This record gives sequence, C-alpha cells and structure tokens, in this order.
Amino acid sequence: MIKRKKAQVQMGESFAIIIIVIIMIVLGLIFYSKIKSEDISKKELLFDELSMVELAQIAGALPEIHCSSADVSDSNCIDLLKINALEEIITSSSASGGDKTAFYYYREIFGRGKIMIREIGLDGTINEWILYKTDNESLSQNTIFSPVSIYNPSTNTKSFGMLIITKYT
Amino acid sequence: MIDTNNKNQIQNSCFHPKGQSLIFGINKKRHTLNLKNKILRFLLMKKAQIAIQFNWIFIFIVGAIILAFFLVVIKSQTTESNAEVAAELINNLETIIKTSQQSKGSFKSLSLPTVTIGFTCEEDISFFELKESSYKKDNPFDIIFAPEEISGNNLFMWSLEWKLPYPVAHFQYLTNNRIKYVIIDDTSSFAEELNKTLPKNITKSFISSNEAVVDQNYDHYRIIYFDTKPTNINTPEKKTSYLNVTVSGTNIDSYGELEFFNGNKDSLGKNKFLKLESLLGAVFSNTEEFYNCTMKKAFERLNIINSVHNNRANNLSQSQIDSTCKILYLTTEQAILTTLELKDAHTIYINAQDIKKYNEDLMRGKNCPLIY
Repeated sequence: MIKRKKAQVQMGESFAIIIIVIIMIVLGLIFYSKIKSEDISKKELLFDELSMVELAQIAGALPEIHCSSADVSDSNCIDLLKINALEEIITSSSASGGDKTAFYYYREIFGRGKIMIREIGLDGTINEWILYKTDNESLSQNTIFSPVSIYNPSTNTKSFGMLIITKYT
Repeated sequence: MIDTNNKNQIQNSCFHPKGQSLIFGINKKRHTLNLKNKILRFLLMKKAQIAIQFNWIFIFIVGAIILAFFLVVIKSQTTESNAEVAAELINNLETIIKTSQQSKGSFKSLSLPTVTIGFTCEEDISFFELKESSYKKDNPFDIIFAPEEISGNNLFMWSLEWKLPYPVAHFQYLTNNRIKYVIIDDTSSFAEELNKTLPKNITKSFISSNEAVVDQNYDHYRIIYFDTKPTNINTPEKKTSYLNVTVSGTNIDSYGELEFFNGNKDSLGKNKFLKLESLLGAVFSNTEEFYNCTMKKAFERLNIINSVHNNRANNLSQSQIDSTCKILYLTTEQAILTTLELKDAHTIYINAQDIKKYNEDLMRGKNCPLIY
C-alpha cells in the first residue's frame, strides 16, 4: 500500500516537473517575442531615419534645381528659373492625361512625400513652390528644413529660402 | 468445580487434541497468509517496476518533444536571423550607394561580410540582390554600372558626374578587387588615357597587345582594347569578357562606338558611348544588355534635365534686353533637344560643345546670366 502510494507520488512529481518546465518555456517565449518586437520597432525607426537622410541628400543635390556657374556648382543655392521649370514639368506630368514619365521618375526618387521651396523676402513676403507632392498625404510625417539661398538669374539677385522635405510614414 | 479459563487453556494446549487442531489451523492460516503476502508483494514489485519503466518512457518521450521543439525554434530563428541580416545589409547598401552617388568624383571602399551581390538591368526590370537570400532592392532609376555578380568581402564604389555640358546625372560604378581590368595598349594614346583615369585601388593592368594574360585566380577578367586586338589571352573563357572601343573624337571624353564580346570572342552587341563617364560604364558592365539598359535610365534623366534648361533658356531670352545675349539663349534653346537616345551620341556631343561655347561667350564681358 505504502509502495503504491510511493509510486503514484513519484509519477505525480514527474508530471509536475514537466508542467513547470512547459510553463517556463512559454513564459520565456513570451518574453523573447516582446523583446524581438521592440527590436523590430527600433529598426523600423532607424530605417525611416536613414531614408529621410537619403532623401535630404538627394533633394539637396539635385542638378535640376542647383545653381551653377559654368562648371562650378554653388552649394546650398537653388536657381529660381529651374524651380519654375521643374515644377511645371512635374505638375503637367502628374496631371491626368499627361505623360507620366517625369512624375513616376521623381516618385521613385522621393517616394511618399512633399518637396517644397519657401522663399522669404526681406520685406517678409513668402513665396512657395511645391516641386513634388504625392496625393495620399498622411498626418504621420517627418520633415527636414534646409536653409538655402534662392538665385534669380533674371534679376541677378539672391534671397533667403528653405528647402522643406517632408516624408510621409 | 473446574475453572472455565483453565478448562479453555487445557483444551487449547498443544497436548489436547482440540488444541492441536487449532494450532494446525492457525499454522495453515499463517501459511496461506504468507503465500498471499508473497504473491501480493511479487505483484506489487512488478507493478512498481512497470510503473517506473513507464515513468522513464514517459520522461524520454516528453524530453524528446521538448528537444525537438527547441531545435525547430533554433532553426527558424537562424533562418529569420539570416533574412534579417540580408535585409539590413541590402538596405544599408542602398543608402550608401544613393548617398555616395551625390558626392561626385568620390571613390569608396566598403567592407562587407563575404556575400555575392547580383545586379540585373533589363527591360522594365532593374534591381540588385543578395544571392544568398532572395532579398532584392529595386532601382529603376539609379544609374549603376556593375558586373552581373560581385563576390567577396569588399566593394568599390566610384561616382562621376555626367555633363552635357551641364550636370545631368551621377554615374555610379561598382566593382571589387576580385575583378581584373586589363587595358591593351594601342597606337594612339586612348588606352593610356583610360588607364590613368581608372582609380588606382582597382585591380588593373596596362599591357601591350602581344603580352600574355594568364589566370591568376580572379573572379573575372575584363579585357579592354582599342585598335589592336589582343592575341595572348590565356584566362578561362567563362571568366573573361572583352570590350572593343572605337573613339570618334579627339580623346576618350567624347563619343564613339563600342562592341562587347564574351570569353569565346562572340559578339554580344554593339552600342555607342557619349563622354568618358559613359565609356567607363561600358568598362564596368560585362554585357551590352546591362550597359544599354543603364544608359536608357541616364537618357531618361537627360531628357528631363534638357527640358528644364530649355525652359530656363526660354525664360532668359524673354527677360533679357541685351540682343546678343538673346541670340545666344535662342540658339541654346534650339541646341537643347528633349527626346534623345544613345544612337544620337554624335549630335548630342556636338550640341553640348556648342552650348558650352555659348556659355563661355556669355562669361566674356557680357552682363547676362549664364546658360548653366
């Protein structure tokens, strides 16, 4: 009788150990998955930031809008006539019925976002040009402001401006 | 009177017949009990033995299940980890390539884990990928000239600005130290010019046409020759490709014809080059198809840039009063064409030279904005 009880208790012990081990494994897996999802969120954030840096570099160095004097390019300077020309090309390309080549080209470069140039005159007047914009705007966005000088070749004058690059996430 | 207890005692004693039979009964009972106990004990022992064995079998089964579970988890984690590393590598590579494109004239050497990067550029499809994983990155508009595969633990990235005559695009050239570029000397100075243009860090050699090229265990040999065909190439055919360059201008930074050959010296196609950057693109691409596809991307960009400059020249011609400047802007407008292809290399080059001349005229003493 006592021996039977002893065998039963021993089996019960084995069961209990196995159940405890399984519970510990499950808790461990839950803990690991929480850490992993945090890690993935951080990486997602990092890739978003990287793509912003990438976009800022590309937009800031576009030969289409950069000032140049013969073979010498002027850093942080944007040509006003080139802005007007490029804005017209992208707008007419994105319009319905237009040849979408230019729009698709810049959409591949800039992605979901907006590239805007804001001129701030000495008298406080503000002029804006939206070079590029996607239709599906989003409240969740990252924006970089880059000060530039805007050169008007017709009047040979320069004014202060901002290159505003917005990327929707 | 006899005492009852005494009477019982006497009757139960072993000397009394009744007592004797009682004792025998007890003994019999005892014997039966012992036997039963023995049988019971035996049965219990068996049950305990079986129970213990079952216990062990149960433990082994559960242990095997838990072990198998962990092995499956480890395997899936390894696969996911490899995919994660591949994705991170490709994303970082894309960022590095795109940002280094913006620093014209730069040469960068990047250390990587030992991987094989594949580059594909065909009609409507353009991407690069890690061959070890299925992770790809589309690059439909990046102008990257590279061999079909680059294997190794380093990557060279060289970026140059393509100008016609104003800046149009940044060309990116990718290679590594496992690919050898052999330039065959020619009667003119074009080969020497090309040799001096190529960066020192890449694996290159400048040899005469009858000098031997032997296998030195590189992944690929790119043989570039101008007018004199090489005769002593002893490298494996599968790892060799040839490029024949015919320069039409006065130096390699002009325009001309190209012909691509495989290791068996079968022609893979002819094409043209426009400016030095385009010629270098042909040097770094192993096939005519890849070169042609990448140059198409460059021309898409050229057409957009030309539209911008055309528009700009038009605005300047309307806003400027000086008639000599107006003429220059108007002729520039005519020189800037907006639907161009590589086959128009000669026309584009000549027009670019004209625009450069008009711009230089504007620089000399005229108080007018420059064309570019």
